[in-house]
Amino acid sequence: MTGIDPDIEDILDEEVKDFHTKQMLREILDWEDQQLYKTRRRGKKDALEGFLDNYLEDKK
Amino acid sequence: MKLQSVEIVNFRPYRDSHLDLTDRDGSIHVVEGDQGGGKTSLHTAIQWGLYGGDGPGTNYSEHWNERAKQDREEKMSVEIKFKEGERSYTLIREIDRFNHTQGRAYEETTLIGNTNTYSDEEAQNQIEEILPEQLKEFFFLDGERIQRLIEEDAGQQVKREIETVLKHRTIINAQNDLEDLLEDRLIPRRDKIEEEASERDEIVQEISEYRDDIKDLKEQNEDDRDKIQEKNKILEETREELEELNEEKIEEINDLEAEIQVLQQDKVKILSELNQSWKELRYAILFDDVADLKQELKRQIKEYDEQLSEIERNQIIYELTEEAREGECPICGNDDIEYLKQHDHEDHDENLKEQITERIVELREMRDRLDSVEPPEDAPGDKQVRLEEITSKIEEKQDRRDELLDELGGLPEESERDTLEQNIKQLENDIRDLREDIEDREKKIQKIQQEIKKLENKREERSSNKDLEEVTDKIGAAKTAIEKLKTIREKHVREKRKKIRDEMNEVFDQVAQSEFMNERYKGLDFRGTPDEDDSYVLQLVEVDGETKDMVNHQPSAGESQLTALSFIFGLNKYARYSSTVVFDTVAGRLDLTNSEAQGEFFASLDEPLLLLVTDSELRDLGKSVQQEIGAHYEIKPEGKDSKLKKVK
Repeated sequence: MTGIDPDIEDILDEEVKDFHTKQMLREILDWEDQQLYKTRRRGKKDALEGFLDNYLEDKK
Repeated sequence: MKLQSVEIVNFRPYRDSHLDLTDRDGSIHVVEGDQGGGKTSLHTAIQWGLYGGDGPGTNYSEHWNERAKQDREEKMSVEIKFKEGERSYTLIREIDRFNHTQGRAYEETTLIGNTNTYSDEEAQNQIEEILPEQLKEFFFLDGERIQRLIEEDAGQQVKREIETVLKHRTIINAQNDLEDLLEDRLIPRRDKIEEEASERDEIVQEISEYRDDIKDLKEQNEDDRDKIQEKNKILEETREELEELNEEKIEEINDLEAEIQVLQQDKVKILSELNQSWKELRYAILFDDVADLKQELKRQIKEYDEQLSEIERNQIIYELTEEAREGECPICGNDDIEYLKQHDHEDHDENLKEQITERIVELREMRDRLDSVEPPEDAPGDKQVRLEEITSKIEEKQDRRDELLDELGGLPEESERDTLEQNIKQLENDIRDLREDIEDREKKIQKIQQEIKKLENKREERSSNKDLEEVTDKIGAAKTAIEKLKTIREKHVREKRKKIRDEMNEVFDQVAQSEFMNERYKGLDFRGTPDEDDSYVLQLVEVDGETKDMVNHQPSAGESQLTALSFIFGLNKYARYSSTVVFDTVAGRLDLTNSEAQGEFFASLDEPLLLLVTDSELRDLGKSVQQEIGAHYEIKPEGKDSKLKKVK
């Protein structure tokens, strides 16, 4: 579960059928949620690229 | 975030003012001021205090109090005390250093909580968590500015506001961050990799060409090695040929020539012997007669020898008899002379002896001469046979020699040998040249291989198609994520669209109370269907259910304000944040009825309000507001500055 709105969580479940894509989006949203109240979100590109890497690795 | 107090120092018209919102009960706090008195400055000061940003830090000269500037009092600050739930906070944002050359000032932020104190970025993060800056539009309202929300091209902005309130910030941040990742990193990386991959392909092509070159060179070397082998074979054969020419056959021919020569000599000798043999043939023919003669001579010699011996014997006897006559017999010692008489008659003629001796000598000479006559060893016939044999051998040898000469094509001439030697030399040169060519090619191959090695290293430094594939996949994944997030957001907004419409209609029903509004309008709606681009343009719905043609018949200022206010407060219910709403230019162009209705609506809100109003606006808001007033301040002029004074 992401830390975001349960409605959005439901839509995510409904709209994204692929397990790995769903996993990637959750990882991204969880990270963004943790960074939400920080004025500077350091290392965001590295973090997001890491999630993309995980997704591509898992998908293999 | 429930505001407790605000203290402003050297900010715009406020030199040093304090606003206490706790000294009286009531949910609506009022700051009353004339136009130009400093209501908007107070509005701005509170927002700067909370969020900084485009405040005095970057354009301090605009916000720095004129009198402080004249007095060189380089300090500016806003201190806000607030409560969040049960927790009390003091937020201080101040500037005490100015860089007049650069036109900048240095902000410092401190947030003092019950247990912790935060500075600068940490303090700002805490404020963000309590009330995100993105939501300030819903808590720091400006009656005139909110009207832009109902403009024709404000659909996207309205949609963004909805998304903000629906807490889409996480998703929006994710989308924006993914876009940044794409634009700043992945796409440039892909472009670079594509460029490198193209360079790599060129390098690979170059390596491939070099390898082809090596292959060609090796093939040429193989061909040349075959040629060397072939030429070596020819060379060997030529050398053998030359050797044969020089030695075996010529030697045999020379031997034959020598043998022929010897045979010729033998032949000459035999011919000579044959001549001699013919000459001696008469001796052969007379040889028996000679032998008979030799026999006769031997007999005669013997006979004469016997005669001579008899004579010599008789002579001896005579001599002996003569001696015996003078004494005893020398032969028997008998002195009877009578006995001697029997030997007296022995003949010993001296003349005869001499004749016989001469005859013997003659005979012996004849015999010796005959003995010297040797009979011929061979007869001419034998010599003729021998001659024929030699002649035959000579012919045989000559035939063999001729045969060998035929094989050689005659005796090798010097030019032929030269040709062969030249051929050998040429072949040796060719072989040497070929070997040198091979060696050169080997060196070239080594050089090319070194070049290939360099290129391979260079190729390794370049990103490969695999890298390109990876980054392309990553870009695809990022785009998929962005697309999916967009889909999620839009679906969520669509799902909430109707509920938000209901909420804003509820507010609209409360605030749009004038006769005109009631007669004309039933409520509010969003234009079109949720999937259309301008589907979030706010529309007034007329009583007959038709939407107002807001393009050709623009709503009045009051209609616009009520619509925007309804939307803002309707949406505010979804914000899930609780905060004092600071509202500037509350009534704007509202008529009394609608203004009072708005006052009633404000009084019905659970959230505390800080209204920045003119005296007429306050009056028009009506009794409902008057009854709920808590803190009540007036902005009073103090020289060229303003001062907040509590209304008794």
